[in-house]
Amino acid sequence: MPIILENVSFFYSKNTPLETAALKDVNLRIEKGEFVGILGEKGAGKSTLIKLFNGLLRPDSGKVTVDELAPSSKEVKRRIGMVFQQAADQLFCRTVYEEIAFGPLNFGYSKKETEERVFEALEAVSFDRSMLLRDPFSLSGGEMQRVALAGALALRPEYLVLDEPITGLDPGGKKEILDTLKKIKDQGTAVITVTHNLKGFFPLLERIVLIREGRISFQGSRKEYLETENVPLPPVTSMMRELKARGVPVNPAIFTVEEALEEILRVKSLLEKEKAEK
Amino acid sequence: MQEPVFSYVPGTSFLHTLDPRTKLAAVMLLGILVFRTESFFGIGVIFALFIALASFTGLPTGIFFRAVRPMLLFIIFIFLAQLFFTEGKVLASFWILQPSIEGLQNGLRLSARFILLLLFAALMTASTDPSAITCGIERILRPLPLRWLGVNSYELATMMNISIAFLPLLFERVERTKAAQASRGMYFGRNPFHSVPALVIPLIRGIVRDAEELALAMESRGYQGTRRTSMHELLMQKRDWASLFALVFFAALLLRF
Ligand SMILES: Nc1ncnc2c1ncn2[C@@H]1O[C@H](COP(=O)(O)OP(=O)(O)O)[C@@H](O)[C@H]1O
Ligand SMILES: [Mg+2]
Repeated sequence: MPIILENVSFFYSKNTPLETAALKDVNLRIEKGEFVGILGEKGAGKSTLIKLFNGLLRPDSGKVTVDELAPSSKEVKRRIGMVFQQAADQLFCRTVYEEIAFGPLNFGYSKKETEERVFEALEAVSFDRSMLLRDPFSLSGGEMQRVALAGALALRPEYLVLDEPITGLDPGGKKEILDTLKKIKDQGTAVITVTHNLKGFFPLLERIVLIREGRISFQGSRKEYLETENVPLPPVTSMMRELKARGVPVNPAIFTVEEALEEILRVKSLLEKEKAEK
Repeated sequence: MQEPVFSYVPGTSFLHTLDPRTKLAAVMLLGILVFRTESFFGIGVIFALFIALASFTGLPTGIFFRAVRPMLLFIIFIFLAQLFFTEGKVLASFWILQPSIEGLQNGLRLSARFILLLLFAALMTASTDPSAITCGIERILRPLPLRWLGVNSYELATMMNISIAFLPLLFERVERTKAAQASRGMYFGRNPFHSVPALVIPLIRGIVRDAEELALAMESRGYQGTRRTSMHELLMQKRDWASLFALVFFAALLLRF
């Protein structure tokens, strides 16, 4: 059972001179277990879109349902784990343990149940138990982001929704988050992420939703996306396309530098072999 | 991008060309006038003055709504407090609440005053380059014996100016934290001992971090908190004195009513 948006529109400051149409007539369906990327320029409406999923914002017209439930219900807040970009803006406890336990306690789970969930979430983000007594504010940006992630995971959500989770992190922090998300997805949780970091995320995305000025301008598999004109691409994919356009017979559907290197070497040896045969 | 509150809109209108000190003095004067005016007629006249100045300046109406919006809750609170806690002729009776006619009048008057104050402040900030505001405040404060307090007028002016500039960022931060905590199942208003720390602690930490970063950034660009020689020393023109005179005349007239 999926997250469904039907003809959804959303305005900020409706009926005032400041009215901004942030989303216009959006239709979207996100299935369980998918890895979805929501792409688009700054101000396109990505953050607005995800806030509709768990009822932080209500649509002005159209309908949002999560597993057939209304997004304002508390159960939806449990099923959808949400992580925002500025992890530091949500941390307020004195230990990492309390921070991760905040969600489960809000939902009224017993002490024992909560503890179990905290340990499980901690493991999911590859922290060891020594982390639990640390002060969240003494951590690095990437570590704070993982604590925030663990806080969301402790509710055992069916959908994990993230807003620019790796923006502003150092390369090590980025990789840790990406690896963690991949693991979470492999365990069956849907991962939906807003991002403009195509370099990091593109290899993981199964489905892509592209938003332009509040409208969905593309929605489909990564393969379909690559066949579409005028869409943002990871730099290395653009380079492979350019190589192909200039007559080097490479496969342009490549998303990482490692793959690109392999592909170029493959073509190189192919060309050398052809030459030798002549 | 969410537009900032109290931002500067460059332009060449009459208000734009006035000395920042004139406008600061005018806002203070209007503030006093607004709180001295009791009659609804008088408040209406001041509002008309605002409309005249604003349309004259050609600023987008949006900035005025933005200036009032963040304070709306506070204004409504004040209105309700007046409505219910002023003794007088009872309008109606709900349970223990008894709004009075006097309360309604006081409430309307007081909220109109706050709104007017915000509107005039927005008019000033929208028509004055922020660095000119700093300059103006600094010149006004210069004669004060601030050294005794361990600050100088330039420091104080910069401080006031930064506080104004940081306000919108603060509101944004509140929104972000609220969204993050609500996503973790927190309900505001159910248990304040639970929800207030979850909002306030990240907020204060964020502000402190921003302030530290700002201080470093300012220092690395040569700010030392001492008075610097200004690029252009401010000069009051004829039109400044004329405007101030007109305003004082207007105030005197209105208060006589
Ligand atoms: N709190 C708000 N009040 C008014 N307008 C907003 C607010 N938040 C976002 N907007 C506007 O809505 C549009 C979409 O914003 P957003 O969803 O944050 O975009 P994105 O996340 O893609 O950068 C933008 O035009 C933005 O200015
Ligand atoms: Mg955003």
